[in-house]
Amino acid sequence: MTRPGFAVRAGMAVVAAAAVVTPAFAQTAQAVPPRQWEFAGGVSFVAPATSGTTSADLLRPDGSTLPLFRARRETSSGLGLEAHLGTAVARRLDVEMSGVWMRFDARAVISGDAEDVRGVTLTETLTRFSLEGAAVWRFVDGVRVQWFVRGGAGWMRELSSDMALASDGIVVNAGAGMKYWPGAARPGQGRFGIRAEVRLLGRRGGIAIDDGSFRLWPIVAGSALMRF
Amino acid sequence: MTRKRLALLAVALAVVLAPGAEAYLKLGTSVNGDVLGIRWTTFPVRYFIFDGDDDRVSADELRAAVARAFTTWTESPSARISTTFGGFTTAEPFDDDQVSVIGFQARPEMERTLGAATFEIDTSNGQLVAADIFFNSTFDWSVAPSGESGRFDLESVAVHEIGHLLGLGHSALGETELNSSGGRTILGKRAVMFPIAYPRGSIEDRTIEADDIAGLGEVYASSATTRGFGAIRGRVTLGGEGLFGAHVVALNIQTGALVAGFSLTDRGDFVISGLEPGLYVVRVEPLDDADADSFFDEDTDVEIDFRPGYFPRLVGVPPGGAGEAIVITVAAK
Repeated sequence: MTRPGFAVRAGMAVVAAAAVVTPAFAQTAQAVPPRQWEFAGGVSFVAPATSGTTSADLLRPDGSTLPLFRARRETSSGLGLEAHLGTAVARRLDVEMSGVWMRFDARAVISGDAEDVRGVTLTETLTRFSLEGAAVWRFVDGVRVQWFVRGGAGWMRELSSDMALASDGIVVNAGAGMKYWPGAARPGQGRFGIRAEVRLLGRRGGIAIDDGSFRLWPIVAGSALMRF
Repeated sequence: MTRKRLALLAVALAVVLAPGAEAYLKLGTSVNGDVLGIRWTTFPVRYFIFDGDDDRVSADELRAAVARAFTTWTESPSARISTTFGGFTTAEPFDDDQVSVIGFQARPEMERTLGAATFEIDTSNGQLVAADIFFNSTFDWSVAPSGESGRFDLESVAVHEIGHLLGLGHSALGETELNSSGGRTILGKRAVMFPIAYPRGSIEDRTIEADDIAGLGEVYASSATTRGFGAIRGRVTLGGEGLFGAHVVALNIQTGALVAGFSLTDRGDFVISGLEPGLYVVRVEPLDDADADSFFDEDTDVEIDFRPGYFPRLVGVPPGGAGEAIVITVAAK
């Protein structure tokens, strides 16, 4: 996906459609069940990535470049904590608010030094906070097992290790996962469960750790679930 | 008014200003025991063109080349400065006439000097009264739009000399090698204010670089022009002692912009300002690609007996300030 707005627009379209459908659903004679909330808290893992090379170029008299050194940009794997609070707005559609904290390293792997300085890897530990809104569509809505797709977007802030450099940006997420409610005998039952998902994270803005183009980072997350 | 003329030759004299305050070399003059920066305080800077032709370049062609070179600097986003052409004059550069004059002069005895800037300064208060630039007509010059093989590009050298006229010293952001005649051949550079010009035919110095823009911003810093820029500050040490004159280079890992400065105290303190916010690689190297007296007073003891190295972390630069001070430890050769 190269357009960050796509997942957001898709998610909003689903929400809008659900809003139209809901009144018809409410016209049935069945009693409206009390609103249930789901809280999920867990951990996430982001995979390492490379994002190109920056060359410290001097210019030769003819305009060609003479690298003083090169820096290959990388981000390490990272671990995060995340929390989601959601509720159903239609039979298969939930909306949720999410908060994510993640820590990872930005790295520059130095090579090609003009004065033969041995290769070295420079790092800086970055912290990211994000607040997101998301739509969750349960395309398999079993009693104990629910499979879902999820799309969301939100605001993020990234901080350097000394907290001096702080830069805001946007994040978009799209992914899929599963919820498992081991104690459920009927749909909606089961107070505790687990949730696992994979997502692609896109970011724009924040601390410049790449060439500024839109990139996707794979994330794996697992959470404990509670209904109330 | 007591006045003195301070000469700045392309390969000769520069004065380190306010050690430790900032790392970009700026021109300064001693007034009553204090070192004051050379900078214009009123704008537009009014200049005149000497009405004498070079063999190949007319006074009007010189005026046009100089005007383009001034525009290159005045369009820099790091400072709000302006200049105006006052007209042609029969006064030659270097006359103590309180008028800023730019023109050709034949100076065959200055066999390695393409041009030079000089200043008239009120020694009672350090105020800059006027500044002159001469281009050595002993050399072959060109004003051809694409440059001309075998001739030095006048606009390129004018951009360098006007940098001096505005108060900038030399940058060390370049690599050279010694040639058979005892001079230095430039391999590459990334600052118009590097003391050694590109060879004949090149027009690369018509464009100022990130390092030049940062230097101008240091001379004419204002809240309006520096608000969005940050700095890296720290020390360079060798064997636990501060190191004077180390060349510190910062690379923005997103944009590739290179900005450099020097450690300018005995503690090895440096500040590189005028940096776009972001993450930076910081590299330190000895000042061995040009003569040290192209940058510092002849009496200054510059340490060059150490190996280049990197600060082991990426350095975050916030807008409008600096992060924690860093300490870069280098090893002896």
